[in-house]
Amino acid sequence: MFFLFFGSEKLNAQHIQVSANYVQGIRYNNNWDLFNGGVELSADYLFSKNDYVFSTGIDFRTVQWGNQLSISAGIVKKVGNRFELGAEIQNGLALFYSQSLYVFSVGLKCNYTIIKTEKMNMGLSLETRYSNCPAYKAYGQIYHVVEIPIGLYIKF
Amino acid sequence: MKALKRIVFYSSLIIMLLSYSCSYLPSENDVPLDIAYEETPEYIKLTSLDSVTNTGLVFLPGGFVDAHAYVSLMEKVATEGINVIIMKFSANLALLELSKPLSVIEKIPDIDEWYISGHSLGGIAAQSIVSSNPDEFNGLIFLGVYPTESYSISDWNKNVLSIYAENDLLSTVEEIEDNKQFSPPEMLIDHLDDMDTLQVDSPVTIYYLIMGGNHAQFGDYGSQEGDGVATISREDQHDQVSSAIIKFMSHNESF
Repeated sequence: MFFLFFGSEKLNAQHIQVSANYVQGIRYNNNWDLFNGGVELSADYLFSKNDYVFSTGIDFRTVQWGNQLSISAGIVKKVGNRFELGAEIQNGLALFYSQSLYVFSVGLKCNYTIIKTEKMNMGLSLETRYSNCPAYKAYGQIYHVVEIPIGLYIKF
Repeated sequence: MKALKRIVFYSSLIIMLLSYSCSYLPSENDVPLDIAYEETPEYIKLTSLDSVTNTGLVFLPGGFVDAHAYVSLMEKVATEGINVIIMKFSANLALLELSKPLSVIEKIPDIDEWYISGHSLGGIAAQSIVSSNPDEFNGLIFLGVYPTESYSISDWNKNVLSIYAENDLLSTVEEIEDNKQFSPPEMLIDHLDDMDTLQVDSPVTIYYLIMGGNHAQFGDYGSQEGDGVATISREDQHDQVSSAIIKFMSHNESF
């Protein structure tokens, strides 16, 4: 989608970002509770235009229903020199033998750049994310969660 | 630019490799009506609606097997009044969170005696937990798994029950035989009723072989790659496993 929109436009910069998140669960079904939501690794391609940074990437994570692999798309707006605020969506599969199950997530995120050099940026990210695996309710009672991924990213 | 390409390549490769970490999906579960069922992000708790004892069993699922795949087996144990906790782990791998079962049982009140059990890789995790915390549990129950030398519990002062299956090709009868030295001394029983009259002077490992059973039928998640073919039904295997667990836990103190 991004390539359709921006394929003919001049892009300011293109980057690769790799990140690792610890995911803190805060709500499952209709219950507020703190729980280990797992860990997440992601690799994203970023391209910016004016004050906006668009991203698309691949994410792997452990989650309530096992492991999941998803593709993501996001947008953040630069706020000041080091902050970015934005949103991300993920669509993917909960990984099961013979029949993987569809999962989706939507989240609001905030990035803060700690180290800024010409070749590399490193920073922290904080997100509030809702994830749902609709078909998993046939197997377990917990099939949608609200979580706070807290992560470290390196942008090249 | 070369370094950038390398990072992208290896990041993508790692993620693609991890994407092969599929779990076994259980059969579609209806919540059992004849027991109390409670699910949290950390565990599934099964308790009898009629009579509840002060005994608990914490169960560790096999590697990459969804915890719900053991509900149908463990509800048979719970109906006898035993409080069953089926643990849920990140990535469905018990070995990644070995301290979690201990933190969970600390939160559950009114249970004086805890037993621990595990299937396959969950059994190795259970053995590891017992070897590090020998006073926390009154007994250990292996399902389709053999003890490893790394976490040897041969001098543990509690009894162990090892249930294994004739057609299990992932924990074979030969492997069970070859690794007996890493748990308390052997006591083989032919019939489950033998446990009713069993008398021992010191801790033992009671071995019970399920004829015709296989590895995957300890749970309820279809067939598993590399496993043998069962010649008994899953229901039959579950009946034998649950009966053995109940007898072991009810007679353990009087052996």
